[in-house]
Amino acid sequence: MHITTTHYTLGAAPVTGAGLGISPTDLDTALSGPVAAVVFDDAGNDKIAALLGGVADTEFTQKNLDVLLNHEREPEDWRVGEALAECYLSECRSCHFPWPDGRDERKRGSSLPGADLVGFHRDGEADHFAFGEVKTSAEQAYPPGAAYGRHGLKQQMEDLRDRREIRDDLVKYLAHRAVNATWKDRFQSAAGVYLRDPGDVRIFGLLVRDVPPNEDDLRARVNGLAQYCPASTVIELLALYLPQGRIATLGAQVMTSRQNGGAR
Amino acid sequence: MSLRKEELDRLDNHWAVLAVGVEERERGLEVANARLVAKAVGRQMRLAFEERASDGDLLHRLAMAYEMAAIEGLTALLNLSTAEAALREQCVAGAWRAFELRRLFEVPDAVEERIFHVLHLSALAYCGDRWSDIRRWYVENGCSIAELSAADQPWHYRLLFRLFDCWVRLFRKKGWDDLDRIREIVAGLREDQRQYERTSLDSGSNERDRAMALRLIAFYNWAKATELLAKYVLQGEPRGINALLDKHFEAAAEAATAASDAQLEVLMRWLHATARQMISGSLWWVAHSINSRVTRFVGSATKHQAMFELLPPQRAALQEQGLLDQAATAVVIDLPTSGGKTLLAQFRILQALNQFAEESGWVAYVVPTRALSAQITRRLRRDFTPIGVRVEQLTGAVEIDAIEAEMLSAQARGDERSFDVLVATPEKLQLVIRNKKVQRPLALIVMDEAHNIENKSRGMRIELLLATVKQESSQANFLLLMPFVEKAEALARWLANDVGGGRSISLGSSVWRPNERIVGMFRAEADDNQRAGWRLQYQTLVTTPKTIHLAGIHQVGGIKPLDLAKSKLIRANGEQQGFGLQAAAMATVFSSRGTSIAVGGTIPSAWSMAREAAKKLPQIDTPSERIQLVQKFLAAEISPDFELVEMLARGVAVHHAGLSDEMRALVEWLAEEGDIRVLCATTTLAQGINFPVSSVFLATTSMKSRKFPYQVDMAPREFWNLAGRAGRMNQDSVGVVGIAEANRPEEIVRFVKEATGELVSRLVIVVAELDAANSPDELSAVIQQEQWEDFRCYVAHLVHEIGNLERVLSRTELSLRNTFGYRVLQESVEGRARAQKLIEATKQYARKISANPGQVAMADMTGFSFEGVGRALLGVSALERKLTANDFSTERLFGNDGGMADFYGIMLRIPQLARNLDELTTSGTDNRQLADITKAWVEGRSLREIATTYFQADGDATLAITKACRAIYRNLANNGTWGLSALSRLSGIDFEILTPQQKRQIDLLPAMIYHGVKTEEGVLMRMNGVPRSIAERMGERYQQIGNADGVGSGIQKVRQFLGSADIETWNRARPSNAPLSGREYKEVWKVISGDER
Repeated sequence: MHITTTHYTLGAAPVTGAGLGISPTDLDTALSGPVAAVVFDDAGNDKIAALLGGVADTEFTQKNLDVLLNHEREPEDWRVGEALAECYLSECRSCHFPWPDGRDERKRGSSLPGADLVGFHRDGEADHFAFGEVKTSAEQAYPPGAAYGRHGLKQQMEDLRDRREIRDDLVKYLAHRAVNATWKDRFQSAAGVYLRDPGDVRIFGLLVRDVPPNEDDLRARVNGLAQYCPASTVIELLALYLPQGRIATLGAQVMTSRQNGGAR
Repeated sequence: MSLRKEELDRLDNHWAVLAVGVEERERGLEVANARLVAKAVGRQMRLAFEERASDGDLLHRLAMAYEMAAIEGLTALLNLSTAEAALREQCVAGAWRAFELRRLFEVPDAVEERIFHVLHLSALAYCGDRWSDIRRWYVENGCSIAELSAADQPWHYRLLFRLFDCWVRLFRKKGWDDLDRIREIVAGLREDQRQYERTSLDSGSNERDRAMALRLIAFYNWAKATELLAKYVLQGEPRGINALLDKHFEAAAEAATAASDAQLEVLMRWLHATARQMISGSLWWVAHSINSRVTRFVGSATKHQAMFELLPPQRAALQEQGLLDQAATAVVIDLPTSGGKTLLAQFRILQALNQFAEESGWVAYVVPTRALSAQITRRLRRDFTPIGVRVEQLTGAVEIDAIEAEMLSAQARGDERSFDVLVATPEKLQLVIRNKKVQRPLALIVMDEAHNIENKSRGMRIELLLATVKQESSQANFLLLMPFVEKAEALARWLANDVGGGRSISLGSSVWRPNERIVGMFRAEADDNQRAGWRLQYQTLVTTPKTIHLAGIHQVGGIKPLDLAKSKLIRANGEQQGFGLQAAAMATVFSSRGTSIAVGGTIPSAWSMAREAAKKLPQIDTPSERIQLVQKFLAAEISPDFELVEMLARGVAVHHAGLSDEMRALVEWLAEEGDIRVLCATTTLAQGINFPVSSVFLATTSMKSRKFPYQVDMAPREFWNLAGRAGRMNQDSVGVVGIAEANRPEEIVRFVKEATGELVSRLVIVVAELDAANSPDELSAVIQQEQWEDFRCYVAHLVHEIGNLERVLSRTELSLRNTFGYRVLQESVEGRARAQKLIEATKQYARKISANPGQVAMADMTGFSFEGVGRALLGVSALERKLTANDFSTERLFGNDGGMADFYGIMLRIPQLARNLDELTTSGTDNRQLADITKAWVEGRSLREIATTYFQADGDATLAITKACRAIYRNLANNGTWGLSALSRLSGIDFEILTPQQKRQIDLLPAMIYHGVKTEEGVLMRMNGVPRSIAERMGERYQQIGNADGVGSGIQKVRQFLGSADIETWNRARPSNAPLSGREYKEVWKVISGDER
């Protein structure tokens, strides 16, 4: 995924911020390629059909579930925003998010606090665990409302920074999946780092925006997170500025791209 | 698979654990131990351990590293392929350690997080083979597992809360009904689905709803798996349970994945493995592979005893080490104390009964003491009666009375047998076997606490009993149960009928323990903050079984935990003293956690320890009905002012040879029920305690001995067996054991480090004495010594059995081969030389006694040595006139003619009897007085009366009663009865010409002395556990109304009568001034007899 412009940078290590611009062409390319591949997952859809079929054996009824799961619908815009963020981090920031090879639904029904993205970040030779939170907002305000509140970006980033039990759970989840995975070595390397110092992780916060770039989206967050930040934790806040007004049509565009044969 | 120490050690080289760091790992485990101990005994003891600020973080990292190792092997735990055995072990070891640490973490407050935390912890416990630990954690963390209200919650929370409740039930396994509720809960959820499901599916976002729908699919599969699992645990169905569980848990995990619910997916993975562990540990899993009796037993045990799963060592014994392999004719189990060996024996018993069903085979269950005999009988009867297996107990008297003889000899008629399992002491079983009292084939002999083979006074007897069984019951199987024995396979090979038939199941190296334990020494230390002040200090020690060690000196309790002056515990020169009182003080401090045992050297010291504890402990506000019942029993059977009555009101009791078996059984019952705070026992008796307590404190590790130097040190094996009682499996996470430092700290440090080692045959030890004997006379002199008595009896039995001297001589070696000792001797050059001498000495002795076959036969019949019979015969012939049947009438014996006194005169000349009766005679009780005591006892005089009349002890009523109890229960009951029974056989009376009634009368006499009653009905009542103060009158009622009907032997008829007798019958039999009501008498009877009707 190609980033056209860096509009601004903020803060200093270990907590930094940057506003990044994506051109209309680059966005279109991404939406018809890698992003759609993340959003749609046909293997995953087959699995869902099987799961639905199996409900009968549990002696619960599947009536309500059928209606929801049997129809492919246009993805919601925030869902595409998240996929954009994932593609950006994977392609441009040496991140790897290994699971679950693209699945339909993501962390919508999670039981406990977690993270939108969980994977690795390679820093030279060393692997670290990388956690990411993504918010998509077309709101005109700087920062947008999605940055605040109980489920806002601010709180989620602080949780990932301060609550080790959340990070522990995510790492253990990766441990379960790492057993026969191709990325097992990377996992062990990152886990070794983490077991020595559970603060030694990379945390990414992404705002996907379609308004003119403005430092106010991130400044207060960069400053806030720098306070009490453990020495070994590295935090990056990124605002991805899409061409104006594009968020509202992200879902439709990915759907069209799929119907035209893209990303199958 | 039972986890071993090596696997835990191997885990320390796992990449994740190494990443934490070696020093950090050691520190982390130390902190965990300290936290565990502080949590368990922090109120009683101030630990010297200091935590660092970084310790909390370290524990988390370490727990995570171990869990990562476990996660790597989790799939292998589900797939049972042999190729993945190492990964499976890694999973169990990792989960074991992760649980060890995580159980100390704070439980989160937020409901959802708490649910995930508790279920995850429970799963680690199961996968780490520590289910008993999680049950205890549940007891300690009641708030965290409380049922959650689902009212007004969205559907997915409703599901989560209800499923949490189901799994709490599955983990705690409180009882049949508690588990059966799961079925209703899941059915209720299905009902609720229609009404509530929509509440979770209207977020306004289609994507969110889709994710939730997937999450619900995960829940539905989880619910189904839960229902199936509960059904299996309760009923052993459906048979293909594992495949069904796999299907639903895999679907649940996949649905959670599709919903991107990481935590739910992880939880499903853990619970999947947990469910499989639960199945493989289920009693049903064992039952299916065996036979109908076992299946019925499991059905009954799950339903009535809330016994659903096997402890890890039990599972290993049954599933991995072939306990029930029919080709294994001799099995030796080395199982840690409290590892649940009785259940294993039960499975093996049922298998043997099944195997010998057509021939009506029977099983002998041999226990070392009468108290254990009663306990085992109660347990076996409770479990076996519902499935139609009859359990009978022989009295501890070394003679077989008429009623017992009748039961033993009864032939099986169809399905009717007088007994299937017989519980007896080795001495009694020896008589049964040697005299061929049972015509049916012996299918199995179970020897409990079989390490007594090395016991100085009884070891050889036990070994020779097994040798006799091996020789004469060629089909019989053997099961030996013992703790802490290395190389037990030698014993198994000895007993097996054929090569490969011996199996040793050793679980001594398993890391499983009923709970953690600290073992250390305690001392008194001056504390000048108070006048004559002192306090207790405790220091843990490094031990062979790797108990928890926490460096430093820890302060126990406050100043003066007992109201004693410092000078009683610390001499002016600073030396320690008053070790019994120190032990009592430790027990008093620790009693706030649960029953604590203080062990003293002698009976008087046990009493004074109890007195001091009782002074300190407050009266129990409202004593339980059980306490009141026992108090009334003591008042009725001994005296209302018996000191123990008042002590019980404060939760203090004694347990020693100065109490009757029944009193001890009731005290044990109170302790098991949690009514006793401090129990003061003697070293000898403490070894027979096989119920769990919270802590054990010993004043000494020495025991009194009859011979010089009058003190023998406890063998390490015996000490660890006793220490193994510390910590109640479902209640205490840490058991506490202490030994008084007693001015010899180095010795104690060494003692707890000593290895338990292999079992040594007594025969091998005494055979060394033959080395110095070089002539026939010298050989003869050696084997005439007391320690050879059991061996001489064995030879007499061979001579009697084989009948012909030539054949005896030609088969001597063959017969000796049946002993364990002889086989051991064959293994070395020196041993083989000794074995040759043993053969020589045996032949020489056989030649000598063959000259007098009549005397040999009498020896075999009575259990006396050949020489003892000789002395008895001399005594009989020295009487003024020839004995007749009349001399054995109750009138003559217990009347004023002094007949009994004459008999005691003879008995005191028989070494086997004199040794014990001497105890009385040397304290001024002559044969005349022995006869008077016997008479008073049989006539029904109370223990207090007997104590007052015959055992004045300077006005010390307790001491007098103690002496009376010992005289009666230990000396008369054992030796008086044995002697009288033998004398009747040696009297020269021709039994053939007596009427059946006369014969029966004579045969019943010893039982009357044993039980302290004067009628046959009274004996029958006492044999069934009816208190003595009501036995005669209850016997009268039985004679009037109960005797006519009923099936089975006399003993069984009486049991039926007692079980069905209404309170009115008990009331009518009750003496008018008795402190117990009829109902209470019946309650006591139930406890003593183990009849739970």
